[in-house]
Amino acid sequence: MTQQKKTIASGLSEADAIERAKQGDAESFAGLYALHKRRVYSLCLRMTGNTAEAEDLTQEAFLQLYRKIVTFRGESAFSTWLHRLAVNVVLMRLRKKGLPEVSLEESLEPQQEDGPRKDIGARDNMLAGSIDRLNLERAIESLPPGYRIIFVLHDIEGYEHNEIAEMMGCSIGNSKSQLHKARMKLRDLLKPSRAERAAKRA
Amino acid sequence: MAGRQKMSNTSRSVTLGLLAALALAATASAADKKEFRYTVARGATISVVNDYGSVRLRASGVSQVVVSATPSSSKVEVDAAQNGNRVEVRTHFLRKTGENDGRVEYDLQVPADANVMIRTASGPVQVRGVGGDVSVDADTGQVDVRDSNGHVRVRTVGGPITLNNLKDGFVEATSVGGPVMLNNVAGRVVSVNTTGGAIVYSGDFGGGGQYSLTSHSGNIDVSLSASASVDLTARTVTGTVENDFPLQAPVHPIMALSQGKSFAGTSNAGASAVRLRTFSGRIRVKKSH
Amino acid sequence: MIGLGKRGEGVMNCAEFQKVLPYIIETGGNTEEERHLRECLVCSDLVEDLKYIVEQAKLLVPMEDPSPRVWEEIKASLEREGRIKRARLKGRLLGPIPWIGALGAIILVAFAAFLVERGRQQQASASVENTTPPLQTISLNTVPTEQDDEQLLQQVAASRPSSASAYQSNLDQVNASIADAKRTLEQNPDDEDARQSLIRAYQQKALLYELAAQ
Repeated sequence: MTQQKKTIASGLSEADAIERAKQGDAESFAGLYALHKRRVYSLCLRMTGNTAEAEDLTQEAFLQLYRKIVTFRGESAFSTWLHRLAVNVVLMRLRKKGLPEVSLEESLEPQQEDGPRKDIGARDNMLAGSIDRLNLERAIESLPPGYRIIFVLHDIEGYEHNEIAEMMGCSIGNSKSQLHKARMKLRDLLKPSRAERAAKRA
Repeated sequence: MAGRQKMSNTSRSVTLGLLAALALAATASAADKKEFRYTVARGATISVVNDYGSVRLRASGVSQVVVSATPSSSKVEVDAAQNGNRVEVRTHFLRKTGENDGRVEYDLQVPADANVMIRTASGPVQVRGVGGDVSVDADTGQVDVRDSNGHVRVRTVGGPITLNNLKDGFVEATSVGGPVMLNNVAGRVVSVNTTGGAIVYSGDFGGGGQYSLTSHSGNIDVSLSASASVDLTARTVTGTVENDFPLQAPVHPIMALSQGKSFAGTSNAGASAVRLRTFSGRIRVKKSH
Repeated sequence: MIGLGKRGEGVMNCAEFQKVLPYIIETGGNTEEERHLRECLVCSDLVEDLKYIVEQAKLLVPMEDPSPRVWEEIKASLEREGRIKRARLKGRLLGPIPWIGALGAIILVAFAAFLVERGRQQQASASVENTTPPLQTISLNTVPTEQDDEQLLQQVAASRPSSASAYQSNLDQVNASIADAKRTLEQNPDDEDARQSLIRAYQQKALLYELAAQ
């Protein structure tokens, strides 16, 4: 008993915690949760924009993790595996709710406002130096769900287009094009309006 | 007796310090005071990020979040927004600024069932009457949470933590160097950790929770009421332990006891498990009056 | 006129450029597209803005933890499913925020967060093409060195100068407590209390790194 405790306390790595969790060790489960809860929750929150749903999805993701942990063989980093699993949990939920992701091509065809800018030829104030975290988070939250998901996956979570295409069931080109529209939409959302600029100057 | 006096003084000085800081905040010019109001549903989340300046938050009986903010200079502005059932308030520095110019004093009223998250560097924080989850992180700011029955988590680098009249929830208070004062704090799980900060507990440890008070080199002082129902163990590695509370020796000791370094026993039905640990700090348990 | 490229032989206009932009922004375009970008202020502003958004998005580190209720629900479900044993006897505290049970993991989670934050800050000025996800690159077998402590203090001094001295003194205190517990443990390797003290000391150090990274 003492020996076992020593082993745990003297330097249990994530890999050790995973192996112990496979055996049903409660503290290792708790340890893995503590290590990854913030990033998983943040992913769910950004993808859904809803606190209660994000918590629910975090719970579901970790429950699935623990149910599937025996199948984790270390082919990829554990965090990569877990986050992929969490993304799938979120996408599954969105599918059930009928939100766009698989039929991206049809449902998110460029709308007029998302096409090439109408004000081509007119320079506008540039964004550099003007974005703070809260503004950006808020703008991301107000993106249409399809755009938001791809932006979060690619620009925040660091997934490649081929991975996103696989997860979302769309083409790589479509993923690129949706990401671009998301960024363009964010640019519009983050540009201060003329009225705001005038108010700041006043 | 001397110990009691010292403990009371520590507790009082922290409380007075917090009051003084909040009073100072209240005297700031109200000329630039801004107010924001948001209607929210049940279980709303309110987050406040404010490096300098006080945050005073209390529960109200209405489903509205009212934010009053007083910036100390034109170098800071308040960024407040509602996204769904979440209200985010953040101090935004317009240019590089220090503690004096960067202060914003906040006064918030939130629904009683709201969840609250506050991050500050040096500003004092007071949270009162909130029934949802309360989470406060501070560097050196003093944190005072009282009259709550939700989960409470407070973490500071050196800021003193005071918890008053908490019940039923999970309570976690962690400070590296600051003292932690707990008065009438009871819950299913209460966990306090410090490195050098003193821990002072007075109350009865509720009726059936798990309590863990731990410090590396800080002292732990526990004042127990006679009605307390506890199963208590105290142990230090290199410090000392003192017990003036009438405990019954455990029938089945779960740890080996050594004179001057540990003691254990139960009182009444032994409903709450209380675990006191230090590395080099002194542990003292006594009866409260 | 710059910004309104004329449609014609070998000259790309803005609409044509922006049509291909989604596909070339991360890889770079051909000669014609590059030339348009060099010559057109509207399109170069646009590309700069988009790159800026991408850079800022990379700085969005996870900031919030889920409610403690989430873990309680997970634990209850796992217990119901029999995947973990029910909570141990009283006196054995798992804690409201799950006790990690592992010295290495405790310190590393905060240290990793610190490195991620630092890494992202360093990358803030990098181009769109250089989008490395830093988390995967962090070794999970490292503990903070003196140099890391120094960098932590520098980061705090830069971002929250008023907190710098508090971090300095508390980091010193935590390091002293780690040394204390280690010394005792070396003298008596079976001293379980000293071992627990060492774990807690590392937890406190992890807290410092976590708070500094916020």
